Amino acid sequence: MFDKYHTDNFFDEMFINNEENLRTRNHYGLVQDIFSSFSGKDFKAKQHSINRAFVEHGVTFTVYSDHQGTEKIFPFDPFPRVVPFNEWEKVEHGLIQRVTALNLFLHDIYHDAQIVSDGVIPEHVVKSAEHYRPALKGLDVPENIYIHICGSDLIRDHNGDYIVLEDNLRCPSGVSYVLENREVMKRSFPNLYRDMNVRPVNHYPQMLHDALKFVAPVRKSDPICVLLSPGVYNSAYFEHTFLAQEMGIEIVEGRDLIVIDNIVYLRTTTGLVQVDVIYRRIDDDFIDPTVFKEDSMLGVPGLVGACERGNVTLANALGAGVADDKVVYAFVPKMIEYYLSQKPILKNVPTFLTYDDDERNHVLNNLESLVVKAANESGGYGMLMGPTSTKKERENFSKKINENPRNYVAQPVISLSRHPTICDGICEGRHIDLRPFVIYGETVEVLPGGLTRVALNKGSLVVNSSQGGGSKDTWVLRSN
Amino acid sequence: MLSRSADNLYWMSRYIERAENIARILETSSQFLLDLGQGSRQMDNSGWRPILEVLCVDEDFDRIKKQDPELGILQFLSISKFNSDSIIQCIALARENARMVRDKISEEMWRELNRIHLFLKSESAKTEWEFSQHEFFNRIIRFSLLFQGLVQSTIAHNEGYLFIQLGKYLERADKTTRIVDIPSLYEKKSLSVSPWPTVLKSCSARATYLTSIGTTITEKESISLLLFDGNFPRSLRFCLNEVDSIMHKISQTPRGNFSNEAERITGAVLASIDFNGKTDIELLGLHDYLDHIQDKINSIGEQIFDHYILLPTSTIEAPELPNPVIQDYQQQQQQQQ
Repeated sequence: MFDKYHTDNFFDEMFINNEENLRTRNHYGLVQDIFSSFSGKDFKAKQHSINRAFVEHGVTFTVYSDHQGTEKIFPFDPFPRVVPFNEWEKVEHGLIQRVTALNLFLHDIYHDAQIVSDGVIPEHVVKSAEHYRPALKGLDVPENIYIHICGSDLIRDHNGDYIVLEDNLRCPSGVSYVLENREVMKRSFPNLYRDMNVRPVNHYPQMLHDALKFVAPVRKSDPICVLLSPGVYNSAYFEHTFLAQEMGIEIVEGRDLIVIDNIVYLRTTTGLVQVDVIYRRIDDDFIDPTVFKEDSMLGVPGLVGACERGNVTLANALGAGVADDKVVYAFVPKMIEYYLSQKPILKNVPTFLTYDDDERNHVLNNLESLVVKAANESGGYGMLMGPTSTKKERENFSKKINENPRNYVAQPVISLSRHPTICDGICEGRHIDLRPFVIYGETVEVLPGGLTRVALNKGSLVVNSSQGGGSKDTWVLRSN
Repeated sequence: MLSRSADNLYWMSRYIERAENIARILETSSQFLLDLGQGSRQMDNSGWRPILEVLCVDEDFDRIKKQDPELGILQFLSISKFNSDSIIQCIALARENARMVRDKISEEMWRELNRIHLFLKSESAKTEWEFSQHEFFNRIIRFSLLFQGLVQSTIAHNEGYLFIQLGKYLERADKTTRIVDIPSLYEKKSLSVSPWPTVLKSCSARATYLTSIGTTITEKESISLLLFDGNFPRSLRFCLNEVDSIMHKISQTPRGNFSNEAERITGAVLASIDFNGKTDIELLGLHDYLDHIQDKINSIGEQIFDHYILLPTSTIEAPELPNPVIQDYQQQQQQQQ
């Protein structure tokens, strides 16, 4: 299984390359013992039966290449990623620190904006962020929580250091795959799973539900929470039903809700029922056609008004998206020092801000070695991968950057860590990242593990499901 | 329960019942046409025409046939993607509705429905249909019966369950009247063999007839069993009686009273069936009588929609709904029908 395995000078999660001799990292010992005995054929068969289970179970996402929308499964690699206890502890503390600072930042900029008057972040950076909502200034949210759910993307560099690639504060998705993948792994490798002493993930829905109930506008023993979904044609619809079902709350669409006198109601067979908390999986722009996009068919007319009057809580809060702007991202380490007087535990990727004349010149002169990203896009869209770009693409991006310098940032290319992955029955290294999930309720908690995404195409650095990415189960151990 | 969820459960159930009934009609009609010497091999055989009429899709068929001259009636009714009421489309729509209420149905229900849907979309479904329509239709019927069993024994018998049952019995009531209507659409003299044994078989009613009525199968007794029998689970009267009982459970109104239009109309139709059914048939003729009943069943469906789905008003004064919301719902309702 591992005879022909090469690390190719990348940081490998499982092996240390010691002068052409591979040494297995301690926490992968058991995995190696078990997996060495499997042939490529065994794995292919296992993978096949797992995929069948996913299709029959309907664990799918929708791709819109034709107007019908094809349901596809998110390819799953049964080779688990293992994270030892102390390594995870650092990630966990780093994420809690980061989300706490981001949340303080949101509260600050929607109130007195101290951080701006103290000169830590330029005013224009905040005000020009696409998801900044000046109308929300002065508005309090329950328990001062803006980021109820955060899914930051982490990568590991050539030294194995965890680095934050971006923060996702607008409905991050993928947690349902974490839970489903785990179920499949427990069934496929029960003995290995037991012997490894892995921390469970199945309490996530309970964690989320508790966090939602914690921010109900009026203290009720049993507030009504709902999950607001764009509907069955959304690519993440499976996740929406999954979470709603696991939390035992209703999954609703815009047309199921109605706002009367700034109170939000559910339309039920026995009449209207008041809603307290909405876990929304719809972006700000689409949530209320009377305030944001007029032509949005997904939202609920009057929802923002109800929210402003404190009659309903949205999770995440309106306007939270300003903190995952890629220019604002560059300032997160400073925020941590400013609000918490601590050194950031997790590093950022060095980021050049093209609105600054010097940095822009540097970027424009070095485009072929940098990654350029649009400040407000996510999911791998609006990007220039310098090393693999054509001259025409670079010229095109130079023009765009010059026209709208605020809208772009540039970063050096990071060589993502690799992990043994079964591709067509052969075990080879593939690049991976990690999306852990953080929940901010009475306390800030991190789900042990998260979604490990893997770029299944050889040499590819793109892990997005729409572009040849797959996933792995992430095993955080109870010990080292 | 969320109005939309109730609507999804109701339509999921209706579409499955519809698929089953179409399969029943096609399966037994094939046998019958063979008896008449009109083999089912000839797809455009005029013997199939009445089936199209009885299901009210004859115009759709003619329209699509113009673009696709190869299209056979049997194919149109079972595996065509262009007929929204073909078996394959009914299952797809049932599954689409189920997908929106996965949290309200059991894992087993979802898995079976998803499985048959994936099968029908696969190449093996076409192969099976071409090789043995008998197998194909029976697979659909077996699935529907299995699904009904799962509804019975894997979910709580709460409001969602009641809406599932409501959809099933209303659809079945409608389809039974259509099956009984089939013989009136054939010219009497063209029928060298009595159609009634086939009709009974379509409704799984042959054994019941033989044991409770006798071995001579007559038109009058067949109609009486399929429309007016109180104990046979596919008869019109049985189905409407269930519809009435379920609606009263949902609204928690004692039977004999009514709290909405759907209950009022159902009560009235039931009474007319109980007291005047046979004389009404003599008066109007079978076909017109069935037409009249079908109209009533349609109004019951519309009233259920208006009362439970569109405007839930029983606890709070009816708010003025913004127009787009109503249009959105109405549009969806039309698509469902």
